[in-house]
Amino acid sequence: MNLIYQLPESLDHPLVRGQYALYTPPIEEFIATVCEWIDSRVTGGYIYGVSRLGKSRAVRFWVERRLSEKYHGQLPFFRMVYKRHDRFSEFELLQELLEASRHRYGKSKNRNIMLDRLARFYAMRAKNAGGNHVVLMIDEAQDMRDPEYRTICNLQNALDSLGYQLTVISVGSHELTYQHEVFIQTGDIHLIARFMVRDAPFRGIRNADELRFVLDGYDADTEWPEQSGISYTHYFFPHAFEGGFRIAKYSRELWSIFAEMGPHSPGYKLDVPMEHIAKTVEGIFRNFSDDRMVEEELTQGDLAGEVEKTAYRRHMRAISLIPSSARGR
Amino acid sequence: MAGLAWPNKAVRPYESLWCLTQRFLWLNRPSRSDLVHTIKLPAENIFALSLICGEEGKRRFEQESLRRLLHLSDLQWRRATLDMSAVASQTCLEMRFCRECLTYAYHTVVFQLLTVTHCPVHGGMLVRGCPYCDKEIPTTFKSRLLRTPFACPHCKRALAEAAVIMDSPCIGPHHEIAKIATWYRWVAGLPRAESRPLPGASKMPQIDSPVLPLLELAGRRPAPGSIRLNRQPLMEGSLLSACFGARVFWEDEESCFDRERRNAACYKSYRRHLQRRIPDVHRLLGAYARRLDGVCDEPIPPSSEEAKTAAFALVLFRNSMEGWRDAHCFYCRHTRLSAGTRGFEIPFESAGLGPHGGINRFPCSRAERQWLLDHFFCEAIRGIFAEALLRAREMVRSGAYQMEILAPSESETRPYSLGIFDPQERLEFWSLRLGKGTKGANRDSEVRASGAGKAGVRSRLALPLLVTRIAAPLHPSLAAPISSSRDGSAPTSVP
Repeated sequence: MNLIYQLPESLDHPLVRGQYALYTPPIEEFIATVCEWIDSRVTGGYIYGVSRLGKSRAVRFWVERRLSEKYHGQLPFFRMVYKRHDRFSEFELLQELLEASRHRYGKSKNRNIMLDRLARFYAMRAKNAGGNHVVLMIDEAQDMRDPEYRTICNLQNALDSLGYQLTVISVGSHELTYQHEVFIQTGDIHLIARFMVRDAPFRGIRNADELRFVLDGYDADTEWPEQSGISYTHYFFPHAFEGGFRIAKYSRELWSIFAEMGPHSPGYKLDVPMEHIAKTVEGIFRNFSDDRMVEEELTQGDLAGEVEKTAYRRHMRAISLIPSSARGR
Repeated sequence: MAGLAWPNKAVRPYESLWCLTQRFLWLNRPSRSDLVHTIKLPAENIFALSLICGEEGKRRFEQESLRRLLHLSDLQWRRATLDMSAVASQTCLEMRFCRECLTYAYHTVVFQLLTVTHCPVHGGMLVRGCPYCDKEIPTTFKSRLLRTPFACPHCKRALAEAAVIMDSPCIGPHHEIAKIATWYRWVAGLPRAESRPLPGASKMPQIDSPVLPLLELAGRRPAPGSIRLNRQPLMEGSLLSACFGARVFWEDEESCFDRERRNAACYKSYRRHLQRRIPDVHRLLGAYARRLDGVCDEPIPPSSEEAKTAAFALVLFRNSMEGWRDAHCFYCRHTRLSAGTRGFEIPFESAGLGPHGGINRFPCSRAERQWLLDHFFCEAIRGIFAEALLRAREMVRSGAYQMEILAPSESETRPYSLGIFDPQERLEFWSLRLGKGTKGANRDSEVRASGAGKAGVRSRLALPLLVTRIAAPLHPSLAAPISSSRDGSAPTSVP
């Protein structure tokens, strides 16, 4: 057990709390795709990918920041995590949208008022930012059905009548691709034309170089406490880090373990979910002491043991059953 | 504004609080409870707030919550509301709009001024109430307006297009609005001591109030052309102006007792002046007094109607001023008139000349204040006599005589008096008595006087001189409105 873990202040560490997200090549591709859609003023598109790839982390931690940098704060961005309900309620959806937008008046007895409120709030944010374009990103969108999309459609129309454009980006699991098919079969072509104009897969880590890029993040691109210049690796292994220990050094060994434990069906291309990479690293940080890392290297067995604890093998077996078209490969 | 839709640059020049509030309601569609929670005031207080006039006291505090909510600076707030104390009687009680401005979702408080009949920007006639159904739209923060923000609460039609309310463009050059607002702000902030508003003015349409034209004249600041002031009452009424002269800085320590004596002396002087002006006054007065007491039934000696009127007016005047218990008092000789024995009280405090200064914290020395008090008093007793003339004329015409006390607060002919500083910082006294009502009753009017006192010590002398020149009740040739001099020495006519 790493003794640092037992320090009271360590409990506030983002890695311990699970409140962090590393910037990865898939996230970069995801954001580039979103930017392209925004620049094209697409009314709506969806991004899909099997679970645990890090879509929600990307939406939660990176998209708003990167869009703000790219558009210099002139593009209002709203994010909502869709909550599935047994029965659709427009009230609940509008209320969730208002609350996700941090509108001070979240509730009303009249859905038209809520819709007006939301549209005018979005429009005013765009106006204050100096533009007329708003982006709404809905996470867990695989649970949304046509009534939900119709409500979003009303919102888009209300904004349109005020002279503002809304781009709706749905992010969800591979089931989103099935929803696309359902809309075609039920004749809701206008919903596809609105919200599924474009689509793109969200992928996992695909090779050892990408894995090294990710692990480099723990060594160099992270920091805690803020403004301290201390990376996560440095924080948990202070002496070893000063002695040259870097987690990125093990990227090749780790990749070979991921490849070894992954599915081996013909034609299957490996996409390692970020969840399993992060859990493996967190396991190493938690279970190996600074003194041990000073004295000796991590062995193949150590690394394989940590990967095994993340239930990687079982998860990948389940994923391999999903048709490759739904996985985006 | 975190969590609420509100533009960064929300306020357009001179945009009214009503307009801003409606835009806020339209943008955020709050419920009644939302609003109560946001403004943090009881609902009944919120929904009674005026959205046109900036208010005083507790209401001002409550409006402050609204100011903070809308992110208005002090300057924007002053421009978004009217000064209640200055223009309360000059404002329209329901909303008035310019149709052209409404296409920009714009309204300014200037539109609420009754003196402004046309839009200063577009020139169109201002319309009262809803432009579609003509029904009244209230100027207060009614809770029912929450359901129809920026729309008519009756016909529910939107007063402006949604995209325009959203973006709220500027209406173009607004300097005419600025001129009007600046002039009214000057009126509101002009340091002055004034008597209560003209009683006669309350019966005429409020737009015709002669107070603003008098302020315009006395303050030497002409109103912009788009403000339609009715200057006719000023031309028809009698106007008097006197100047204190050079400023003095010494303090005049005069007790209340001295002031009473001075007022009594002033009154006696005025009474003697009137008696000299009325032919056969003693004979007539004696006859009226006996008749009123019912002691003597002999007929009133034949005389002209004017002489009868003047004589009986003098009886009424003395009755009011000296507080007679019955007509026998007419024969009693009052050695001294004190507040206790005199029925008539001069409303010094209501004139804004109480011990704490004038209504607008009028900054004058004690000597200057005394000079003003003398003039206010003198004008007040002139008003009483003018009222007595009116009443006497009615009684002579009807033949039904009765004694009565002419209360100064109800007097139709009480003048509107004003203390003000001229551009050279010299104290001026202005007085306006409306022509209406006194017309045909041989009103007393000002005559030219010479040798009025100068500053300071001479101001004591100015009072009898003023009294000497104010009354000429029976000479219509002297009825034209003439003012005394600005510097207190050479009277001049008011144009």
